[in-house]
Formats: sequence, structure tokens, C-alpha cells
Amino acid sequence: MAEYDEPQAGKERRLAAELTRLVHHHRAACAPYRRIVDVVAPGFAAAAAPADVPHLPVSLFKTHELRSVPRDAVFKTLMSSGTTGQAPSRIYLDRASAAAQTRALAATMQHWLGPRRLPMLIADTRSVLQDRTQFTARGAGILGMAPFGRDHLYLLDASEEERGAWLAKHAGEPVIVFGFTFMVWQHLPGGADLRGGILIHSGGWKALADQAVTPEEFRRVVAARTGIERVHNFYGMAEQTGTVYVECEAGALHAPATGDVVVRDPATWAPAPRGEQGVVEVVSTLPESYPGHALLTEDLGRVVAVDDCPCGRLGQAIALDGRVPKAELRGCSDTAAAVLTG
Amino acid sequence: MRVETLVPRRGEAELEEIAAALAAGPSAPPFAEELVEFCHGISRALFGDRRAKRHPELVPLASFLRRASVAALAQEFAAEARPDVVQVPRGLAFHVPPSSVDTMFVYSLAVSLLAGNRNVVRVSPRRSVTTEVLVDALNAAAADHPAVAASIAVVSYGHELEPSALLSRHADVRVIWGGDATIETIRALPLAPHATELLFGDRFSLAVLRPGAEDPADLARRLFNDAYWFDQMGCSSPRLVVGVGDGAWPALEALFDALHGEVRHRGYGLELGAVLAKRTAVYGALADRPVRRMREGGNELTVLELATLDGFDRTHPGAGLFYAATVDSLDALAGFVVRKDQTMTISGFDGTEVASLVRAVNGRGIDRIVPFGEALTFGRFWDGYDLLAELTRRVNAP
Repeated sequence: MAEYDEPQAGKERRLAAELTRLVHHHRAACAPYRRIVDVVAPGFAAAAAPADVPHLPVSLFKTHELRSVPRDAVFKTLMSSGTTGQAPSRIYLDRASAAAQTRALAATMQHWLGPRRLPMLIADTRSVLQDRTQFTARGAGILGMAPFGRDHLYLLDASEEERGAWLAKHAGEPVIVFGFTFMVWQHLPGGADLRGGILIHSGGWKALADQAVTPEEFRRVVAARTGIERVHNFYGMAEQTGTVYVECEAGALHAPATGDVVVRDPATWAPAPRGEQGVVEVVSTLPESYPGHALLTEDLGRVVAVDDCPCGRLGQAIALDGRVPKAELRGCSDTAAAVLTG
Repeated sequence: MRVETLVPRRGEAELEEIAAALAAGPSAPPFAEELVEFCHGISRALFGDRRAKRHPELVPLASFLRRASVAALAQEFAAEARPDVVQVPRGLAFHVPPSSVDTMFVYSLAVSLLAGNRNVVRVSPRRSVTTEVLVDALNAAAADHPAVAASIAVVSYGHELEPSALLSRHADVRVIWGGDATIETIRALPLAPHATELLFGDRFSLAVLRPGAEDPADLARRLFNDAYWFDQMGCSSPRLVVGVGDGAWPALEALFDALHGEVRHRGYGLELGAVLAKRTAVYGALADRPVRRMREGGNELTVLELATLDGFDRTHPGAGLFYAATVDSLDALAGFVVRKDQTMTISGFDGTEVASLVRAVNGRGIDRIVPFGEALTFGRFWDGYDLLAELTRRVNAP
């Protein structure tokens, strides 16, 4: 099935059935998940829609080891960057789950990049891949995206001459530029003619929003520096690697075939009406080796299209409004500690 | 080094100069008339501040500082005197109050001041509205009582340890309120050899009730004040409610139903960030703990009913999360209590039963037992200390 050809009503029925199966699978395979579901959704049998599937707060993967496969079946453990000072999320993947993530990401990316692998410029340094002890979201993002390009050039490692040679070699050819949003903003040089190229970026707007850079300004500057007109942000999280939400020409983030969003009203936790801001829950049919199929994020967003995005893609699309600000509670324990040790 | 000063007036000053002036500054005997009047002045300023009306937690503080209440404390202090001992102040007290139980810095300062000490208080640069109201009240009293004002400084600084190190070197007594991490950090800064230290670490508090003794709506009103004034993050805010004896579960259910009504009636709300942090903690608890049922009253009240108190984990996110459990008798709690447990708010038990529990625990935990509604009521006995005794020296003069 193509990525964005399925009308929302049918997609919800399909996802609900697959997610229902995952609830029962993880209930049987992961004891902490079972204890949670048995309290928050006692007697759960089947979900009619993704919104009916019991979800976990995404930060639970920072505090708890949640696995649905034996320890010796874990093929790799993904660590999400986490905010400074916080424990990272740990996501346990067996071979099948890792392969399913790769397939799903490929299906999504081929839609946007085409079937051919294009020369790829990476707005980062190779060293983020080498230090496995500090394996970051940036490293994971590059490892995930690199296979969709060829003849990779790491911008921060290349000398002026190397860059010139690479650009000359691929002059007139469409290329892919990939990088974290703030890395692209800081390091994508002006003066390179990359007309006909595609920029894929991710990692959140926070750093740029702090500098008051809007998505429109970002696109304008990228076009002025390089001639690139096709700019696609994407949204996704390490806890649901493989299921990514790519920004279309109309600026909306589209749910892929393997996943969807439920925007929840934080006062009632019921799905919010279309267009109204709420907390974003993401669902994915991919997680088999860990119970990450329905996760309440700490992001705010809105549903902006249901089968009716001006770009023509079907299903739901969202816009993000940033992170929920961290709250400071009062209390004895919240003392000078942080201040005085900092 | 230059720091922000808040009291006796707002501005900036060299910390060395503040410390030197305080060390050489005037001092008064415990409960001297001018000290009592100064506290009464703070109280008047608080009762007269329109902003204070939005902060109900200021009312008990303002009452505590009134002339009548301070006079009662003075009488108690005098009654305990011995003819062969003169009680004198310790000297300079350095206070590090919690940055967020806003009122604590004034309680800590006032008790020490009434004992006759000179005082320097460090507050965080991130200050709540309540703290600003308190600073203004202190400055109003300081303007009327310049002699007392010369023995007080409230200063504000951030991350750096040097100012705390300097103040620690000058201090005769250091008072650290707050998290275990703060205590560990500041405790490492040397004090003078004769100096003493009062430490108030992370604590846990619980409420215990016997069904039928009091009306659930009335209990809920008082439990609301105990738990919600400081977002359930005060050391004495109850976080576990235990029902004792027959009918304990229905009684707990009625109490929490009434508490939900109270939370709504008072219009208490949490920021979304706190709601999400609590949800993560709640789901973590569901994964780890013997929870038999969860009940929610909006985002502001979450009750996790525990099948057993065995192995109870005292970590807690605040923000309106209550563990609930039942036991057969009050005595059954003796084995449950640990050092970390501070305040037990009770309903439906007589003095004999309470005394029997305290003897059974025998000092392994619990420093205060008070009725519902008084969890946050400050007193001279706190965390097992007699503050007035700790903040004075005894000179033997037969």
C-alpha cells in the first residue's frame, strides 16, 4: 500500500485492529505493561479506534525497562538523547523489529525522495557516529537516513577543496541534504548551487524558535543560500523509530501508513476536535519487541487535515506547537540544590 | 563578592561587608520587646497586603508572627528556664531555606531572630510572588525597627558556592532546609569549629484515619490545605492516606470523593508540565507497585489504592497523587514507619493510642502527630529538633 493513499476512516479501522493485537501481545510478554493496562483499561478486549488503545507516557521509557522479548533476543538498544540531565530512553529491539523499522522508513522516504539514491550532503560530522558511548539522536538520525543517499559528504569534516570537488562532481544533479534543523541552519553554506535538490531535516525547532526563526524564514534562507525549494521537516521519536511524520508542500506533517496521531485535550484526555491544540499521542504498528505502540508525547500539536490536505495526500496531518513547558512544583525538596550544585 | 540584597532593603552589596556588619552588629536577648514588635510588624504588613489574599498559606504565618502568639512562645521559653542557667543567642545564623516552600524562610528567620540571633538568609534568584510579598513585609517591619533591621540580611544569589562558603565561615549556626542534595552540597562547606548545624532533609508524610470519627467533607477541607498548599511538595504534606479498621476502604473512598469536590471548589489547577510529570510517575507506580485500583478526579487528584503497604516506596511526584491503603489497627503501622517519615496527620484516635504507637516506633521515624488540617502548622518542635533550644546557648551561672 502506498504511504498516503488510505482514507482516514479505513486506516483507523486497520490500525485499531493491529494495535489491539499489539496490546494483547505486550500484555502477555511484558509484565510491567500488563500491570499498567490491567489498572488503566481493566478488561480491555478490542479498540474500535486508535484513540481507544491504552497508551503510555513516553518518558516511562526513561525510568523503566520495558521489553517484550527475552534479554538475549535484544539485537540493539536505542537510546534517545533525552534532555540534559535526564536519563535517556532505552528502546529494546530484536532483529525483526529493527528490520520492520528500516522497511517502514524506506517506504516513507521513497515517497519523498524517489526510488533512486541521490548524492547526499550531511550537515554534520562523522564523529557523532563514532562515539557509541554517546550515541545520540543525531547519530541515530544519520544512520537511519544515510542509506537513502550515496556518495555521502559530511559538511563539517570536509575541507573547502573537498566540498568544491564534491559539488563540481554532482553539478546539475539533484542531491539530498540531510541534517538536524539547527545544524542545517548553522552549517549549510551559502554560495553552493543545489538547485533541484531536496532538504530533509528534523530534530525540532526549539533551538531555532529561541532565535525567532520561523519555518517560513528557514525555507526562505535555505532557498537563498542554495536554491533548494523542496524542504521537508520530519517529526518522529526514537521510541517509535521507523514511523515518521514528513512535512508536505503545504507545511503539514503527514502520518505514514504505519502510524497515526491522536491529539488529546489535556483537560479530559479525550481526542481534541480538529484544529484545537492538545497533547500529541503517536501510535505505531511497528513496536513488537517493546510496548511502544501507543505513546503520549510531551509535544503540543493540532490536527490540520483529515483526507483534505491541499497537497492531496490522504489520512491525518498535524502541525506542532512546541513542547509542553517543564513545570516547577513548589516544595521542600525543590530547594537550592540545583542552583547550588550547578 | 557582590550579591543582590532583599532585606533590610532591596539593592546590591558586597557580601563580605554584610557578613562583617552582621558579625559586629547589635544583638538582643531572647524575646526582647523589640524582636516581638518586629515580628508583629511583619504580621501586620502581611495581613494588610492585598496580594497576600491570593496566597492562603500566608495566613498561618501571619498568625504565627502576631504579638499574642509570639508572647505565648516567649512564656513557654521562660517557663522552661532554670535559675542556674542563662539562655543566650548563638550569634550569627545562616539560613538556607527551600526555594519553593516560600513561607519557610520567614519561619526559620523569625524563630532564630526571636532567640536573639543575627541572621543572614540566602534565597534563590528565581522567586515566587509569595516570596516578593514576604520580602516587602519584612522591609516594612525593618523600616519601623532599624535596630532589629541591622541584625538581618536576606540576600539572593544563584549557582555559585563561594557566597555560601563565606557565610558559612562567619556563621555560629547554619540552618539548611530542603532536599538531601542541597544538604550534601552545603554541608561540605566548612563551619567554624564551635558552630552548630540544623539539617532538614527530604521527608515523607502520611495521614491516618479511623472511619466514622469525623465528617468526610470536613476532613477533606482540612486535607486539601495539608496537601495542596505547596502542590503536595511540602515535607509535611500527606502523600499516603491509611484507613484503619472496619470500613476503611469505604471511608477512604468517601474522603477522596469529598476531596475531589474540594479541589474543584477551590479552583486548584496544575500546569500541564506538572500533569505530564505526574502521569509518568503514576504509570511507573502502576508498573512497579501492588496497585489494585486507580481513581482520578481530573488531573488534580489521582488515587492509587494499594493492596498492601509491604515494600512501600516513598518516592513521590507531588501534584495531587495519593496512595491509599488500609491496616487492621494503628499499631500495625509501627513496623511500617521509617526515619524519613515526618508528619502523621490523624483523625479518630485518642492520645493513648497515639502514645502507644510512638512508643512502639521508638524513634525510628515520625516527628510530629497532628490533627488533619495542621500538617503545615509550624512550631518550635520540627523534625525532632526543639528549634528554640537549638538556636540558643546555655550559660551555666549558679
